[in-house]
Amino acid sequence: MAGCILAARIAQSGVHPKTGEKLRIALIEAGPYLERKRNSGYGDPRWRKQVVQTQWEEFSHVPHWPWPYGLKAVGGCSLHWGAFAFLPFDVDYRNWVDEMGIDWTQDNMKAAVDDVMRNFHVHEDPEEAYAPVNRIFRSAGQALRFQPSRYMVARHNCLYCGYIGGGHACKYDSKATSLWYLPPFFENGGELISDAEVLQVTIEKRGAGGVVKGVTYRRNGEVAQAVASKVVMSCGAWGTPVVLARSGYGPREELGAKTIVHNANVGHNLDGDTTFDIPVLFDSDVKEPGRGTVGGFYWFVDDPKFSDSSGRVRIAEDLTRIVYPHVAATSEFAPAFGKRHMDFMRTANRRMGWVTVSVTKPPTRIKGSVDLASGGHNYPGDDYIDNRMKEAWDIGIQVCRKMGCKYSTKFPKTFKRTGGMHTNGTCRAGSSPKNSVINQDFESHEVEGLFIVDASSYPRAVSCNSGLATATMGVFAAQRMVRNHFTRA
Amino acid sequence: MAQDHRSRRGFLIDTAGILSTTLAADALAAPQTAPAAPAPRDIVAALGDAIIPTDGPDYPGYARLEPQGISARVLSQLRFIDHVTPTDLAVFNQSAVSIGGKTFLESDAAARASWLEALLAPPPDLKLDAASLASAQKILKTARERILTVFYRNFPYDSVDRDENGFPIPNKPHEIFDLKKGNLVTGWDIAGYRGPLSWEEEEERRERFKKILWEDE
Repeated sequence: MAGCILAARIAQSGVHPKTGEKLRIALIEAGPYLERKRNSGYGDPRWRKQVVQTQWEEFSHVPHWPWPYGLKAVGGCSLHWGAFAFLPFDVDYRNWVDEMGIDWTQDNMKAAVDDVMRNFHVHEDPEEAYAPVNRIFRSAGQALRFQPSRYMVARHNCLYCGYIGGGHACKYDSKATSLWYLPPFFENGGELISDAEVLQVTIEKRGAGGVVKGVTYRRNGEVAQAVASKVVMSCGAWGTPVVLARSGYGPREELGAKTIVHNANVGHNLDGDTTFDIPVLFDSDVKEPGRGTVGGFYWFVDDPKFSDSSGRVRIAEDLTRIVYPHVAATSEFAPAFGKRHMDFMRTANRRMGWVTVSVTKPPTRIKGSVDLASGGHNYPGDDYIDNRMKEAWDIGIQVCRKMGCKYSTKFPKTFKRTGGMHTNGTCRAGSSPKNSVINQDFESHEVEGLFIVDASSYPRAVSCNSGLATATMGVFAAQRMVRNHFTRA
Repeated sequence: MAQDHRSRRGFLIDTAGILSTTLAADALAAPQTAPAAPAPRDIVAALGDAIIPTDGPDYPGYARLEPQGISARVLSQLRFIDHVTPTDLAVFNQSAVSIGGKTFLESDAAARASWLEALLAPPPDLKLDAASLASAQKILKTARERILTVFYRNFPYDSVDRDENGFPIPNKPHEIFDLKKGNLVTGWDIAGYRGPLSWEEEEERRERFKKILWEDE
């Protein structure tokens, strides 16, 4: 998500500090570049040829999808995200500042947020795009004295075809992606090296720290090196720590003799949300099958015991998500077999949906980690999260009752080891190497010339889905890097 | 209850051709002297037919798609994704003896349905030990999910053609992938699921949203 944005903005604004000449920037991406000219609402023919719009067929031409570290293609997760465009909320900035001693205030990030708002076309869905079921959810929330807000979305000229999120690419190029930022990258001489997986960052030991010398990557089976005095890692919350560990940068306790530069926080402090979907079924048709907004309304319920929004819960709807027939067929609402099952299937995708409950901001004491060898996701969960999830579920069930639909009463006994999604924090920013990997300017504390800009950079989970927070990091980091390193002295 | 499932007559008519084809193939493959062991594919076919029955135009079920190889697909996924072995299926087939004296394959459509009901809600007088019951229930659960998933994923129109590089090849103008490649009634048809937009629907929606929220570049 952040890599393309950062590369483009630096290419556009940055210059060599001594000569004032344009920078030489290479954007190295493990997967292919699915090239197209942006034409929102229609889609470039080259792009349309590749977007199948059937979940299990999407991206199967992209190697190793699903890749453990996200989608392996230029644009990364922005190709398949849901385009739910939640910028950081007030409390999210305050958390970053108060907990980590960094200057990521709302004011300081405003220009980056404005940039993302503009370029991702962030707005609310128009009322006309909503299905009856969206409004049923909103009314139920209001009847329970909550204040439902509309989802913010990142779309441009959307047809509301329904094929957004859930692993879908957008055939019509209406879903905002970080590829929309790329044209200035090429216009300013940037070089895209696609299908090239970075194996490691070359770090040379210097004193207690190190200095970056470039990267080693593999392309078409051959290993190559790119020499650079500055390297930005944007491989995501799982991928970045793994590549850094392969490069000898990380916790000595885990890397052992491979350690070149020690930092105990690489791959740690994993944060993220824990979510549960309540399946629901209405007695009559409440939406157009397979079409619509996909998402609509949500609200937060905070835990009054905390002043920093720890324990924040989100009650949301996923009532217009595509209900693929095979999903309805195996749902708990479906009769077991026979003609009754077939009769159920005739209406299921006009009547089924989900109410989603999440703990979006776990308390700061609950953190997970990345397995630095495999990229594996370790998130412990906690009794507190289990209890908050139960409270959120209770509200979700009240909403279901108010909506007058059938609903599932199944609920897991625990969410331990299942949460920490929309992952962030695994190379977080902070005031010192003791609590973080990078400083507030995205520079490694110990390795000169190394920057980290992706979801791993921000130190605390945001209140909602993390896509746009990550995009904001891309713009914000570019501003700081240009200011600090790529402005004519 | 009986009318919830396909009729015996419908079952015989619809599957006679399929069964005879299968038997002929099995006969060619099997040693002439070997006892007739149930073919895993036949057990899957019978389960599929019980779960998604075929009965006239209102119930265009699973068995109609046997010529397209639906049971072969289900069996393959059961083996390689769900790790259900031929022995598991044979045990399931045999377990039906406990209720009507016949194996699942030997049973008629009504008896098969009764057996599935018994597995879902075991009657007190069911003559089957707990381990065998649990095993049969587990296989039914797994096979049911797999059968429903394959069928309702639009089989046999569930994949797109791809070139030598793995890139999908559109089969309609305007680079549209129409998964409806023939006239068979599929799970998507039963569900009234249209799939991705046709060109006509795309144009219609574009015109609609141009009046609501649009900004040409």
